[in-house]
Amino acid sequence: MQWWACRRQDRLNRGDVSAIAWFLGNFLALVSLSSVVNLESSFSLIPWFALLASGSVFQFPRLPGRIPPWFWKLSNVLLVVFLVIDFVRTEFVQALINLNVLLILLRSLAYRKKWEDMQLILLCMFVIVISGVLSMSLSFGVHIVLFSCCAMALLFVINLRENGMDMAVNAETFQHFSWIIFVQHIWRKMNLRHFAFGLFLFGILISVTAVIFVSFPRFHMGRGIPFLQIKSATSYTGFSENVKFGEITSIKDDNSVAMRIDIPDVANFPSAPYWRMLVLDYYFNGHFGVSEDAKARREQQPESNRFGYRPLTLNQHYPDLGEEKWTFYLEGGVSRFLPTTGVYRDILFQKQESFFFNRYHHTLNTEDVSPAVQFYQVRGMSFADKIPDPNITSTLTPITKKLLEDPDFFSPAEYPATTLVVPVNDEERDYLKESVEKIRSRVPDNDPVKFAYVASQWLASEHIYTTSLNAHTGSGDPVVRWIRSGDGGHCEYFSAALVLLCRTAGIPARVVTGFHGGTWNGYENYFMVKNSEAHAWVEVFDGDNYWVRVDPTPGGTQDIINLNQATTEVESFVDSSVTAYVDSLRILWYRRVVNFDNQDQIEIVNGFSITMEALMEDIRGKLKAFANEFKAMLQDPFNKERMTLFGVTFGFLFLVYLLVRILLSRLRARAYFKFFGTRKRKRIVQLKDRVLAGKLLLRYHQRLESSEASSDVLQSVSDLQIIRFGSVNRWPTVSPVLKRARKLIKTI
Amino acid sequence: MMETRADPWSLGSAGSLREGKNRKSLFSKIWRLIIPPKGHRTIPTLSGYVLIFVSLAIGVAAYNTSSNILFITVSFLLSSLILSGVLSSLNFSRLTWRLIEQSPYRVNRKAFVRLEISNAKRFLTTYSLWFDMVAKLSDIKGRLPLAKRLNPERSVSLEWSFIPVNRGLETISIRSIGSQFPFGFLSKMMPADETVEVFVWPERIDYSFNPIGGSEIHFQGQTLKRKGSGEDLIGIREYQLGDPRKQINWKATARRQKLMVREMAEDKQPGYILAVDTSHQAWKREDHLEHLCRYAASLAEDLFTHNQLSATIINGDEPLMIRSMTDLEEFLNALSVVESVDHSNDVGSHRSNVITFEPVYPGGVHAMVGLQKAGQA
Repeated sequence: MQWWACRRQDRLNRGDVSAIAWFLGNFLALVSLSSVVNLESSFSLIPWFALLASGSVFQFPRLPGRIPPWFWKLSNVLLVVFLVIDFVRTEFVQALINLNVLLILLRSLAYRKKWEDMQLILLCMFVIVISGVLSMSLSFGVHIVLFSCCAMALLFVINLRENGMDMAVNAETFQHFSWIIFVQHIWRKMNLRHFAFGLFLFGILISVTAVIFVSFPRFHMGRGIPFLQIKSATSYTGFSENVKFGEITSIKDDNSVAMRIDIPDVANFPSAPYWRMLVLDYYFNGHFGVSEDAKARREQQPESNRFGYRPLTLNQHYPDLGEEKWTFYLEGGVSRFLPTTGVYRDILFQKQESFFFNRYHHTLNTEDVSPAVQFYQVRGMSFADKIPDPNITSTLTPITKKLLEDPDFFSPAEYPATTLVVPVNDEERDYLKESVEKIRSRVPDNDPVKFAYVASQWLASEHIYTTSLNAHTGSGDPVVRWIRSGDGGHCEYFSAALVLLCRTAGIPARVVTGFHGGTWNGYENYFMVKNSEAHAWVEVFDGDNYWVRVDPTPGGTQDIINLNQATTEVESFVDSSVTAYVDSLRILWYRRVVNFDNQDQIEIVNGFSITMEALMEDIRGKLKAFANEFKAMLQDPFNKERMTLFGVTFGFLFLVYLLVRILLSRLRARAYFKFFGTRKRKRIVQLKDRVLAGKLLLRYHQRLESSEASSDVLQSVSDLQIIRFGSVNRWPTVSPVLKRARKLIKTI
Repeated sequence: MMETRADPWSLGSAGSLREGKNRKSLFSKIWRLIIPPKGHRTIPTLSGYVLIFVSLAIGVAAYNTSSNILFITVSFLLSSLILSGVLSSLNFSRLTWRLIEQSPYRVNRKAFVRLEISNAKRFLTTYSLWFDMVAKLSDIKGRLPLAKRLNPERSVSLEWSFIPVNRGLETISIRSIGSQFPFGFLSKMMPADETVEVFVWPERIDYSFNPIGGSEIHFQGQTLKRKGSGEDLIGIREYQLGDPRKQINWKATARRQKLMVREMAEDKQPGYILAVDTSHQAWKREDHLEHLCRYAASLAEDLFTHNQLSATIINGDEPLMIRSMTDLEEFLNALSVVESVDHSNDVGSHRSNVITFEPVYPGGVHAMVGLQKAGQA
């Protein structure tokens, strides 16, 4: 046995390095596949299948060795056929991602060579970037950081392999593989200092990335071309143009965040705002919806308006709307109808959007439901409870009058006449009329809004709020049946009932769906609206070109005349839970990363400038104060107070100095060796070993002059010479050699 | 035998990476990262070109779409490129190297040169270096990789081998030092001002030498050693059982890290004077002259080992008395660089102990002793 064979091997061998490279590559594949799976509109089962297969191979690295060679030949053919079909059958982005997923899968199933590793890195990067662009979610941040870490480690290892350590893995590498043994093996051989240095470098990488990201010159938000958009997401049914009873309430079961709002000033922010999404003017037998006529009146905005829209009608009615910007982050898949308060100066999109504006409903919708989070900025938003509707008075007044004169008058389904239609049978209509008469008796004048409030109060007195409903089977209109039953109901029943009562009374009314309320996230200071805050309420026509919001649901606003009540007590609705903290990371991501633009850059520069100016001002002030004090001291250097202070300070500092000296002298040796002296101590020990070996060699030399040397002696001499003259890294284990030499010298 | 360099651990031309008086300021170091010094080359590798292309493509897409996701990706790619450059510089920093000749060097025999590399950094390991070596006379180039990592404050030796094709003064140098550390994006190379000059002796050949009145000697290209108990050192060899202890050469033992013993020559006896005349009149053909050198070198070595070589004369210069191995090496060094001269000089070729040479056409060389043919090659 050679002497060096006895030493503990302290480096990773070629097999270790190659195995690490293979595992890193497969981990990259897992990260990239999980990013595709993470897409909410995950296209198909392919990413899931790929993730499962790649994960299995990662867990059991012997599996690729069992794949028969014909599989690879067949897979190439099948891949081409599948892709041709996929590109024809599905949209481009989906097919592109499927292609990458399959290629990653094939690479992760094999023992790779260098160029295949490089290919895998590129494929993984492509998939992660595409997923990030499509989802824009916080998970992209996690994925790209993991990718960078692993890709660099893999490139590092590939580079090492190329420089003399090239050895591709094969089935034999993992023949007796066990994760526990492998991890222990790597842990034993891992140099923790190198590992720590690697982490430090990675920290630097992240910092440099942040600096570069912030420094990139940006153009105005929204000056972009469409890039990789998915159209296959579906919205919550309750926020579509046709709603059945219970569909809004079903959204309430979902406690996830639906949207986040950056608000400019919390002082004038209402504690329970109403976020309008859809106006449902049409009703029939338990179904509310947007009438065909209203749908037809939607206006698709021209090319020039794609990044923003200014509804002139609002500006005419609300000339005093401010300039503050409200940034909305609507989660993917919620709806294609964008929540707003309905009253604002203009709206701005981050990217090119094809959208429709309904000037009668004051709703805004995009062409498709966005699968990813959608950003838009609303400027000059108001929480006014009145929504203007141009020329509605001239259209509706004659219809209302005719309806009041002839109760049997039935208007065709044209907006806004649809807001007056009560599609019930005669018996039900009579019941509704009786109810209306009861309510009207409590309203001193014929004010439609007051009527709506009183009707809401009447409904609240007859019914309690509950989300668990009794099944009311039977014939006729379900809303009238519910009013008669006296049972509890949810917001949709209350709203539908109020709409029917108002319409029976000749007051145009419509259901509005959206969100009501929300919580304030105290960690990052923004407003969170959850899906559980989905709501339905009513807007009634006030007879003067405005639709006024009335919420008949108990606990709503039926008792509040001024719906625009603001609150300054933010603490009353602050969410400080762990969930809110996790959610705050998302808003941080959206604000600081996804929505970062040239305005933010200007703010950073300005902030830095202001900070520096303040700092300089502070320093100047302190210097000036010090100069004045010094001047005063020079003018009167020996007053009693100053001398006392000087004496006490000097004495204290002297005591501290003495203490530090004593402590240092006691701790010096230990601290020196502990923090700085390890290397020197090691050298001293090595020097002693060399001297000892030299002495023993001399003794050998003296004794061997007169006698023959045995092979043991020669080996011992050889070992001693290595210790005496040789490089430390070639030393055998010292103590046994010295011990053996002493023993042999005695025998000579 | 060979010239040795006076300055051990001479630093390579790593520019700012030199130590001592040449230590550069931090600003200078940073500036050199941006504008590499003269002679330094940084070339993207294939993966580097791919990275640049991908960065450009994503950068263009980022600007066209205003997507910050793409801006982040570009930022990561660029920062990895910057980190790669910084790490590459750190990899080269405080790195020293020197070339050590491994004598002897002989035509058509595998020759070695040892490269000692030392990493003087306190904390950082050096990885993945390569040294582009060149032997100028033989026009041989090669790459010597540092396959394993070089830990801080540690040294490592590498050996480069080549086969010299011409006798003469061979200049072995490190053409450049390169590395693709850490990620293989950039291939960084810097000149290395490190050279050793070695004499490449003529090739040993088969010949015969049979002087009248002397014992016939046939040599088959092997050096015959004649050990003795004289004072001249012939060479050093490994210890064998039975060797006297006092013959152990401790310095050589320490250097080779195995027991080595001295071999002494027998006391000098009267021998031949080997005279080499390379005049143009006698040696008109280049191949004849080369053959002469080969013959003379082989004969001189063998005569020396048989203790039959007294002195050597080259082109009528002062005779060189051959008393030790060092003298013989001096003669071989001189022979390795000898060239054709204009005039011949009389060296007393009529004397019975003087060996001279004359060409034989069409090819071959005769050794003459006392104007009589004594051998040929």
